[in-house]
This record gives sequence, C-alpha cells and structure tokens, in this order.
Amino acid sequence: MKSWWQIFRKRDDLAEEIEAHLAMAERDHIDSGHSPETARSAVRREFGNLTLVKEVTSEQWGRTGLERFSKDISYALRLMRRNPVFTAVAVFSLALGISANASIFTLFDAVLLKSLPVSRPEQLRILTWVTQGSDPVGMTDHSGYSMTDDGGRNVDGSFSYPAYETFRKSVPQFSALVAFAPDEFTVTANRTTDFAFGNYVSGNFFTGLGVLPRLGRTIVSADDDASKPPVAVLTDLFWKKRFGSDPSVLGRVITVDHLPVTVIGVLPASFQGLSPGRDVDLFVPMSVVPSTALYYSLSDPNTWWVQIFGRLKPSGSGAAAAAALQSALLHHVESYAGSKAKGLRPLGIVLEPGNRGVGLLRGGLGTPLCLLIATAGLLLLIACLNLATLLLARNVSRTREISIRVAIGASRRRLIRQMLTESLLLAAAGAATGLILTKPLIALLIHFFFGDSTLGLDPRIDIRTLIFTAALCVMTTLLFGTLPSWRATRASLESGLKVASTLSGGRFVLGRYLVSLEVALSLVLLAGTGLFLRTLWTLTAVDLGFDTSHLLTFQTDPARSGDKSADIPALYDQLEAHLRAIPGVVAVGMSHQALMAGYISTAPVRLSGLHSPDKASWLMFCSDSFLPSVKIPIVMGRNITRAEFEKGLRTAVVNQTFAKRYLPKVDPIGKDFYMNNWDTEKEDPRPITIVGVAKDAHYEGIRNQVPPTIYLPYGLRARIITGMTFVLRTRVAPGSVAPAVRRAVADVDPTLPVAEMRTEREQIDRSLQSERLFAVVITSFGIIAVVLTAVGLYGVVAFSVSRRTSELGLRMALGAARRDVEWIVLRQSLAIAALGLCLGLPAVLALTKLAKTLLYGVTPNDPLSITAGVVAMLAVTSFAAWHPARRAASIDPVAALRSE
Amino acid sequence: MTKREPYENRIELLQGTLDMLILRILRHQAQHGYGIVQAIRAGSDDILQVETGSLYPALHRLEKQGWLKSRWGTTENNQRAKYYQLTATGKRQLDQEYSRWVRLSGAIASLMNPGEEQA
Repeated sequence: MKSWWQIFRKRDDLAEEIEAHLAMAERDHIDSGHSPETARSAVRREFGNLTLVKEVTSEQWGRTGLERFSKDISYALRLMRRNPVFTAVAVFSLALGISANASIFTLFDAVLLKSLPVSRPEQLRILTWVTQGSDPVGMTDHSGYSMTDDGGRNVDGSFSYPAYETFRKSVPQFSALVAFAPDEFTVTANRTTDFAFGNYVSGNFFTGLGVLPRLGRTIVSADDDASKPPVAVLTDLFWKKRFGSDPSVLGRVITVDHLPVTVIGVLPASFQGLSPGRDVDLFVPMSVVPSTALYYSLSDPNTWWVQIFGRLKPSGSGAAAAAALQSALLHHVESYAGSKAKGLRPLGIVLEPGNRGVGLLRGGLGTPLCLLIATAGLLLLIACLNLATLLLARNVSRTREISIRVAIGASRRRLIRQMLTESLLLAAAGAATGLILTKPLIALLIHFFFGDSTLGLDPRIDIRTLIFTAALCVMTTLLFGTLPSWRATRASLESGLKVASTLSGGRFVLGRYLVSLEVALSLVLLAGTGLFLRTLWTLTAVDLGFDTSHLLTFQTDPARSGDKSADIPALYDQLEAHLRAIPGVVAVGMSHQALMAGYISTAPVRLSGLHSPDKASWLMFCSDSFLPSVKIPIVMGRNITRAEFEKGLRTAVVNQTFAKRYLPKVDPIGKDFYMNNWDTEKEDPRPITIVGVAKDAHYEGIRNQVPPTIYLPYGLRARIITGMTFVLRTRVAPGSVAPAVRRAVADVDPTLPVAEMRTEREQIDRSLQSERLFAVVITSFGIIAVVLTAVGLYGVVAFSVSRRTSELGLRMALGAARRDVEWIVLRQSLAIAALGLCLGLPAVLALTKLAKTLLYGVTPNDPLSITAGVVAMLAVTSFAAWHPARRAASIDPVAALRSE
Repeated sequence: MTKREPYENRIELLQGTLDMLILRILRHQAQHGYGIVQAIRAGSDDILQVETGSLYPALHRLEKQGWLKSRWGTTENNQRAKYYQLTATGKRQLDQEYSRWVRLSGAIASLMNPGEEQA
C-alpha cells in the first residue's frame, strides 16, 4: 500500500516526465522551422488529452486502499441515490434501532459505569468500618448508610467528626481526606421558602476532589470557620431551578434554615456530590452544623454521622492506609472511652474504591436497564435481518453488473469489500440519523424513569456514546452486509455472464429463513409487550384501600422554619381552618408522612399479656381527620377523637391485618399494647388502647402487601419527627386548588415550606414509573418490530411471486382458479410465519423468565400474552402477504407464459 | 493523434506488440519516452507512430512489472528527462515475446499464402 506522500511524488514525477517530452518535441519542431507558438500548439495536439494520459498512466501504478475506498464510497452513494425508497427504509429502520440502543447505553453508562467528575477518581477511596455484629464503642447516634455484607458483617460508612479530625492528623498515606454528610434544609430566597437537599462538607472538600466551580469560587478551608459568616455553593441544577440561572446570585444572602448564608459559587452541571441518588441543591461548610443540624455534632465522639473519602497518594498503598486508619481509630476511641475500649472487638477499616461514589443507586436499576438494553438489541437485530433480506433480494438484480466486473478483473475479495462499503454507508447514515434521535430519546427515558429529578446523574451524549454508536455501526454492517455480499459474489462466479433467469435466488430460501427469524424475535417482543401491559394494568387496578381520587397532598415542616418549640396542635388548628376555607376543599387531614410514597415507619410493639415486643407494626401518626379524609373506613369501634389527637392521648386505631394477625379470634377493641418511649429508648409503661379497626389499606406502594398498621395520634410520635403531610379531599379537580393552598399556608406562616405538592393520583403514578416505562418502551419496540417484520415478509413474498410468474401463469392456464393461486402465496407466507413461531416460542418461554422480578400479577409464561402474540403475528403475516397474493391472482396466464 | 498517411498504423496491435517494441528499442541503450517514439518511427521508416496515449501507460506498466527500470538523467540539450532501461527479466521477456511473435506471424503468413514460396 502506497502512502499519500509517495503518490504525490509519483504524480509530480509523471508531470515532469511529460513536460520533458513536450519540451523535446517542441525543440524538434522549432529546429525544423516552425515558430515557437506553432510548435507548442502542434506538440500539444499531437500528444493528445494530457489529463487523460496522466490518468490512464497513473492507473498503471495500481490503486491504494484509500483510493479504492473512496471510489467505493462514491459508487455506493450513486447506488443509494438510484434506489431512494430502499435507502430510506434501510436508513430509517437502522436509525430507530441504533438510537434506541445508544440512548439506553448512555443511561446505563451514567448509572453504572461512569466515574465521578472529579480529578483522578481512581485515587479515591471510601472509608468504611466493619464489625461482626456489635456497634463501635460508645456510639449513641448514628446517621448514614450501613449494610450487611454477604459474610454477615456490618459495613458502615459513618464516622464521628473527632475521628475524622484524628485521621487527618495522623494518617499520612492520603494526600487529602474529605468529609461530607447529607441533610435537608429549608431555603428562603426571593421571598419563597422551599425544601432543599444539601451536604455539609469539610473545608478541603472541593480542593481535595479537584472540582472547579462554574461561577464564583468553591468552599475552601478558610470558610470552614465558625467565626466567619457562613457561605454556600449551589449546584447547577438548583441554580437553574431556583434562581433561573441568574449570575447575580453570587454574593447574595439567602436563608438556610433561618441562618443567613452568602452564595459564593455555582458548580458545574456534572457535579452532584459523592453520593448519587438524590438531587443535591447546595453545599455548606461543616462549621454550620451546630446551627442547623438536628442530629449531627462536631464535638461529640459518640455521634457517628460523617462520611469520609480519601485520596490515596500515588506512592501510598491501600493496605498501609487501612492499617494506619485502623490504629488511628483505635487510639482515638481509647482516648475518650478509656477502659471500655479494651476487651471489645476491634473495628476493621475497609477501603472501597471511590471512583463511582457511594453506590446505592446502582443496585436497584441494574436489572431494568439490562432488560431495556436486551430489548433494544433485539430490535436492532430485527432491523438488521430485515435489511439483509432486502439486500439479498436487491442483489439478485445486480448479478449482471457483478459478472461484468468479474470479467474485467475484479477479485471476489474486491467485490465483497465494495459491497461491504455500501453496507457501511447505509449503517453510517442510519447511525447519524439515529444520533439525532438519541438526545430526545434520552430525555424521554429519564422522564419516565426518574420523573422530574435527575437523581444526581448526568447522562449526556459524550465520546463514550459516540464510540458505542460507531461500534454498533460496524457490527450491524457486518451483521446485515456479510451474507448478501458473500452470496451475491458467489452467484456471479457460477453463472458468468449468463442472464439470470432461474437463479438459486428464485425460491429465495435464505431470505425466507431470515424472515422466519425475524418473526421469532418479534414474537419475543410481542410477548414482552403483553406481559408488561398486563403488569401495568394489574397494578393500576389494585384496590389500595382508600379513595385515591380528588386528593391533594403536600408536605411541610415547622421545625425547619424556626418553630422549634412550636405548639403543633395550635399550628395545625390554624392551618386546618385556612385550608378548609378554600372553596372546593371538603376535608383536611394530616399524617407524619405521605401514603404510597415509599416511606415506612415501623416499630415493634408488645401486646399486653405477652412478654416479647416482637409484633412488628407499621405506624402512621396522624390527626383525627386523617382516616376520614382519605376515606379509609372504620369497620369496628371508632376513630380517634379530636381531643385524643390534640392532647396526644394514648389511643390508636389498628387495621384489619394487625387485628387478624396479632389478635386473632378476639375482639381487639379495648386491648392494650406497649411501645418504646422514643426518648428513653425503654418501653413506655403507659399502655396504648385500641379503640377501632380500620379497613386494610396499602401503606408504601402497590406491590407490597398490606402490612399490620397502627394509626396513632400525632402527639405520640418521637420528638425528632417534625414533618407533616397534609391531605385535602376536594370536590373539584385537586390540582386546581394548589395555588390557593400555597396562599393559605403563607397566610398562616410565610416561612413554612410547602413541598411535594401533588395529587394522590400523581403520587401513585410516580410509584409506577418504571412499570410505565417498560410498558411504553416494549410496546413501542414491539410495534416497530412487527412493522419491520411485515415489511420484510412483504418483500420476500412479493419477490418470490415475481420470480414465479411463469409457474403461476402455467397453473392458471391449466385450470387453477384465482383463489387457488392466492392461497398458494398465502400458504408460503404462513409457512414462513409458522417456522418463525416454532423458533420463537421456546425463546419466549426461556427469556421471559428473566423478567420475573419486574412483573406483577402475571406469570412469565402467561398464556394470554403469548397467545395474543402468536395471533398478532399470524394476522400481520396474512396482511403483509395479501397484496402479493392479489397480484399473483391477477397474473395474465397468457402473458406470463409468453415471457418465459 | 496525427494522421500523416492514409495507412494508419495505430498500434491497435495487441497490447503485447507495443510492449515488445519498447523492450526491443531499449535492448541496448537506455532511452526516454520521446526518444522511444522517435526510435520506433525512425526504425520503421515512419510507418509506425506510437500514440503517446498508449506509450506512457505502457512504459509505467512495464516498469511496474519489473521489466524496465527508470532513472532521471539529462539529455544533450540539458533537458532533464526520465530514462528507461531493460532489466535482466526484461531481457528474458523480450526474447520470449519475440519467439512467440515469430511463430505467430509465420503461421499467419502460411495461411495467407498456402503452398506458395516466399519471393
């Protein structure tokens, strides 16, 4: 293979050579008497077409790979222009398949594969401590994540702040140790108050991670000082949402939990802290903790709440660092626990890789995303099969062209290379078109998967997506291009220059097999469609136990607005009065957390007469008006009264499951039970009396069974619970009273935040998000797959009919009726479909089992879904074959025979 | 393309014949393209005039096949020109082609004049 440079040189050489020839010829002419001008023109005329000579001569050098490639490309482009319909169909179906795969991959990448947008993420380590069972010495308060690993050990990521300070002083293997902890805040800015989610961070957080601000500056160690006025850094999301991307926010003072805080910077869009899973709004320094954090402490070594990431020095080893941390922690614990530290099991320190942050999000989404990728892959496969079939058919008409090329010297490899280039061009066009579709598709997927939040992820079309798309492009080219190219060139070698009449392609057996395969794959998608539609249907039809229509809910939290010692009943009275006054509102109720929102509060209770507090119960602290507002009926006894709610008396309503499970065969009314006192952590000696039994209602979600539930007066809750969720039953559309609700709350107290306002229907739809996503995606893919298969089938059958014209004409001449001929064609297509269904059914039975965990109310091998899929495929097959069948029936036998 | 005489001997001689002539011209002496054209004209008494459109492709093809090799040189008039000369394989090729051509022309001659003796 010659290089470009060599070719340039050769061209130059040739030009010079020819110039020399012309010069010598000119000289001779002049010598024999002509004038220079006559000589020149005569010589040039004699020589002939200079350009053509150069062109033909340079062809003698042989073509380089690159030259051949560009010739192939221009030929392929000409071919594409000559067959616009085919090109359009091919490009479009590829675009759909490729964009579907690219969008899902981008999501997959962002959730499961990408590293944090910090510098050198591979150096980061998450500090965790590990024990076998018991908690660390003296730990009284714990916040943060912990889990039990496969070995039964307790793995936890929270440390005390003094421990963090000790680490920074005495562990040299880390170039930086940063600490952070999450908290909820109320932020007042632009005269509105709203909930926000943020992180406390150590002074070296941003510099240690290497995160640069988009605007302004980030928090530095000097800011982490209680004597200085507090500062805050906003995330790009919060800046857009709350401040409309206004750059004048820098230097503005906002109120965070009624503390004045200066905004000093805005972060780039990609950074959302080290713990993806929730939208983070702002970062504040640790020095703010004493003013705003309820459960955290900077000085108490017994409160474990801070999460720590360390950047390992390039020279440092993880093992040495872990050992150093362990001994540092041991000394630290001994220093304040003294003698108690000895004799207790030591804490192990484990360093996890930190390049992807704290990975709680990844687990839950793995299966659904894998399933989506598989479905998208199936669709792409169907598109490729379709394209291969169409190409096979089209190549039959190119036999003559191919034979001619073989005759003038093209090798088979050369021909195959050229046809693959044509396929590559189609795939590239499909990929380019697909990329345009990918961005909106990703937005759609995120909206379905995550609702309005982005869950702290940053899925965007970047170089990784492009590489993936390019790889897909090449793969699909090979998939659909290899077989037709190979087939076409083989046929040419055999038949030479003979006019192709009854080629091996006459029966087009290969094409039929390919379409059968498509039918099989489409059946899988159709079965999936049936399953997920049924799942969604069943879920939406579940009786939740309360009336979900005409309910509006919102959350507020008086503690966050400064009413730390608020008189809750009085506040509630005011709010209730104002809310009831809104026209259209029929009833107002309140509970400590929202129904059907995925939150749970549980506690063990001990029934009087029994010894062990082992009856796990779900708790709902509410007002007296709660049950009537959500229309959970009382089936026995009575509801709690207004007085009991206001005074926080020890009465409760239990649900039917509680009564059936824990008090079977007895009248639950009047029975007592005991719960722990939240402050002393010992059992409260005062019993709580059951006054009524409520009908069963779902608590946290649709899929879960109804748990044993106790409805208690709000006053009985732990003091640390301060949130209140209001439910309003309306006579009109619940969304329409939302503005009036905001005004009413502001009238009572303008600093009270109003958050998560939505109708109950919206709440429930949210909990069905991923089911809806699946149903939508798989149904769309199913429809596209069916359309593609129909097109492929139509192509194959039509082609077959055109090849069999003479045979069918003969049949009709010998007495076959039109109907018989139609049936022959139809039978062929049904045979194709039947083969596909036979191949597809076992695949369906095997593959649907993988989706088991995502289904609800249907078995993976649901006969209804599968049968529906089969019937649909047969119907589509008949429909696709209808037109060719009619064409076949209208063949004029005489004309057909004559043309033979 | 110039028509000097009514009898056009455009070398639609099979491609191989032009190649053979070129190799013959270059047998004893290296020569450039223009010189080869002149030599063929002179050596055939102006009967054979090579089209440059055929000559240069032939020269480059022969060089690619290894029967000729080229180098840049200067003519007597201080003109820089590309000189071609025969390689060893080229010499062998020339001999082969010549003997084939002799057999071929002998066969044609005996067909045209069966039984007659050459005058």
